[in-house]
Amino acid sequence: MRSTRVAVVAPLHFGPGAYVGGGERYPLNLARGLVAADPSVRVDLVAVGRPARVEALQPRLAVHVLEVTLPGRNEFDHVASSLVDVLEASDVVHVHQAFTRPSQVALLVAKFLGKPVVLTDHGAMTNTVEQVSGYLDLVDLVICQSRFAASQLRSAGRRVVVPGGVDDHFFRPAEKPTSRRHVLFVGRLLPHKGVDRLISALPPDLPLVVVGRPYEQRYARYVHALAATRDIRFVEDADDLALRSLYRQAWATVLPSVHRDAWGGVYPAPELMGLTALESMASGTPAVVSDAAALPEFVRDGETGFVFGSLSELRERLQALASGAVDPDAMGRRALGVVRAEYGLGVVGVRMWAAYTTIRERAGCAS
Amino acid sequence: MRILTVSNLYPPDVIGGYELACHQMTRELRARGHDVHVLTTWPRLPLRDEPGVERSLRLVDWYMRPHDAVPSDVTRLIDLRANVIDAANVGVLLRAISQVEPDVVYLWNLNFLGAYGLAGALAHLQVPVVWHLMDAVPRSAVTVGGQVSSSAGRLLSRRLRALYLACSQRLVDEIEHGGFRFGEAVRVVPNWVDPFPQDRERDTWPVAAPRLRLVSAGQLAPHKGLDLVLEMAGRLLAAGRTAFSVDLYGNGMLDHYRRMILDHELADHVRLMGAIPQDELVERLWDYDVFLFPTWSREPFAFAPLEAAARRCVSIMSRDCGNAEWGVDGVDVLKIDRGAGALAAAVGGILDRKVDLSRLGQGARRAVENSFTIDRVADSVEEALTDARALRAARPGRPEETYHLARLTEALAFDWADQNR
Repeated sequence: MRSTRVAVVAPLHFGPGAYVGGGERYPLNLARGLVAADPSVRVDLVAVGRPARVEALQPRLAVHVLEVTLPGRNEFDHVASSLVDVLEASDVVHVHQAFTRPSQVALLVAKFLGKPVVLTDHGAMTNTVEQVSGYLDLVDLVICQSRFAASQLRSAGRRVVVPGGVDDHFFRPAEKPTSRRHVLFVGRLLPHKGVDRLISALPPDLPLVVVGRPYEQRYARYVHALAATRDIRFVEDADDLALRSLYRQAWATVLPSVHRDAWGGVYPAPELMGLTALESMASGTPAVVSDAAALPEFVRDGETGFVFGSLSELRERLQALASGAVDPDAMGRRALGVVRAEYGLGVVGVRMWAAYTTIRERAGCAS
Repeated sequence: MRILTVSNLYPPDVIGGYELACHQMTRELRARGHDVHVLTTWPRLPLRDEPGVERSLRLVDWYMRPHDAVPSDVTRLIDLRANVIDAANVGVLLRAISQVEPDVVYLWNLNFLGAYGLAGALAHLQVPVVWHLMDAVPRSAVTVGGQVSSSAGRLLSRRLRALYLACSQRLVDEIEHGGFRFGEAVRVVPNWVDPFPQDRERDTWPVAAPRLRLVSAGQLAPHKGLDLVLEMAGRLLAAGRTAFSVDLYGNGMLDHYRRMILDHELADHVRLMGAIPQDELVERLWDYDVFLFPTWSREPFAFAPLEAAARRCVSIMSRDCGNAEWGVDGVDVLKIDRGAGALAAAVGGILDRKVDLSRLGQGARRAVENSFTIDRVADSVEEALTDARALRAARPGRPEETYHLARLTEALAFDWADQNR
């Protein structure tokens, strides 16, 4: 049986020192799902960075970190000339991030090589090339991780929504019952993530754990100042095992993302999916999310978690979960069931594979 | 066969032999019954419309400009437009293909048109192409600010559905050094003389003149060996050899060579003749004994020594240039290791009558007549055009997609240039 090679291209690689957010973790999850979906699939995860290397993550799944040949303005913007060789060997190219230079170069090279191209955007934007070229029309298929994400892209081409893509093999409930002891936030410390709102709404007697690295010093200082007199712990270096434990020990994981930050800054698309909400649910812990952007699509209000609008609503929901007025275990079990049925690696991998097969058939290159 | 020929310049708007050759080959192919349409640039001169010639491409008119006087970020921008991509030119090419519906696109010199974009568009469309190479255009197409992107060269050569006609193996090697891979698709065919002149009575030195009449023609620049010519003249005079004259035709670094002539007291033996029309220049070659051509090793295959040979004017040329691949040392040319000493020794040998110039001149003319006429080369061109049509297409792209790709390439290229200001 001839294998089908899928190149999954993202600006950053997925190892230590390069991970930024869901936009980087998601392609890795997707790749694992694809490999699980069909035994003929080989996936090459492709990124640009240092040090250059090729590393087998598991059978039929390798990560290629390509050597930087055209340095960019920032780590999202580097270009590697060896991209040509990797893409030429592929049958389908799935580009992540629509508006970064390596993604745009990957799209250009892939189309030039006559490869079917799939695109998923995660919101990063490092240049204005799209505005002058309208190049999204070159994409054979846009796969969006939410209906909200689908509404954000200006493209005349085909698009499908494949929600989810959480590693539900790794993020799973503990085998033995675990006591819940904190409210949890997981994400980058950036103004649109709204941690400041969470701190403001946090009931006085509840501890909060904030997991994530600071990416903007002004905001980090602001959040730390708000947290000064509260029972709030900041964790910047949690590995996946530690993170999984923190999910399991939480009454709820909160994603308080905002369209308008503490200083009035506007974010049209603060969350295209909200991967950490799904990780929490996969760990058997309810997600409490704001009603911003794509977040309400993934949480069934009152069933698998809560969707809040105001800070008073958030405070009430957290109080209810911590006090037992709402059983976080029961809600977490329902959340787990929904994730496994709709958003897990296996489910998403099969859907992705079906989408790839369709565009390969349309391009006349399916075996 | 319906052919769309693409060239950066086209007579009467010319600079060098490349576009003259394009014109000659167009004429020859039409004479052989082919329907040839020419796509070239807006003229730099006021010209009348000419049937079969569309002058609508945009030229980056940057020939002969001194790049070292320009800031590097400006040079980079010019290189991007001239060498890499001009999306507007891709649009013009797409329209021409749509209108002409050619069996084959016959590419010539694409420098200063955004060569990579044009060739890339043809590659994406999988249109059959014959690319006639008399200069390292595919290498220039991946060169920006002096940096060559070999991966871009490899990418283009993998996708082009093309056969290549290159005027020397040296040129093939130079282009491949820039990443481009010809594989089995390249054929080395010589340049030519057109028209091949009627023979006439002529005397050679010393019967014709008391001084050995040396000539050189082309761009007056060190890489063409002009400094070596003047140094040679100085060496001969220093050795008491005075029975020679050197006439230098062409434009270029005139101030530099005027100064050299004065500084080395060569004025009685060396003259700068300026640039004169091509037909007048070739006619004058009857009146010279030796064509001096100590050019650099990157010389693909200059026309002037061929024109001289057709008139029994013998060339002394660098052993490692493209022209030398086609000549037989001591039979129809004299080859030297590039240097003023070797050049002076070769001329000295003639002055010492160790060389039978008359026999060499006849050999040179015979070689041109037998191998370097347009009808001979046109046979190879027709064969390549026919063979190119049979090349297998792999997943042709659509024209609108091709234009989008060109626009994206242009946007990315200029975004990169903006970053590097």
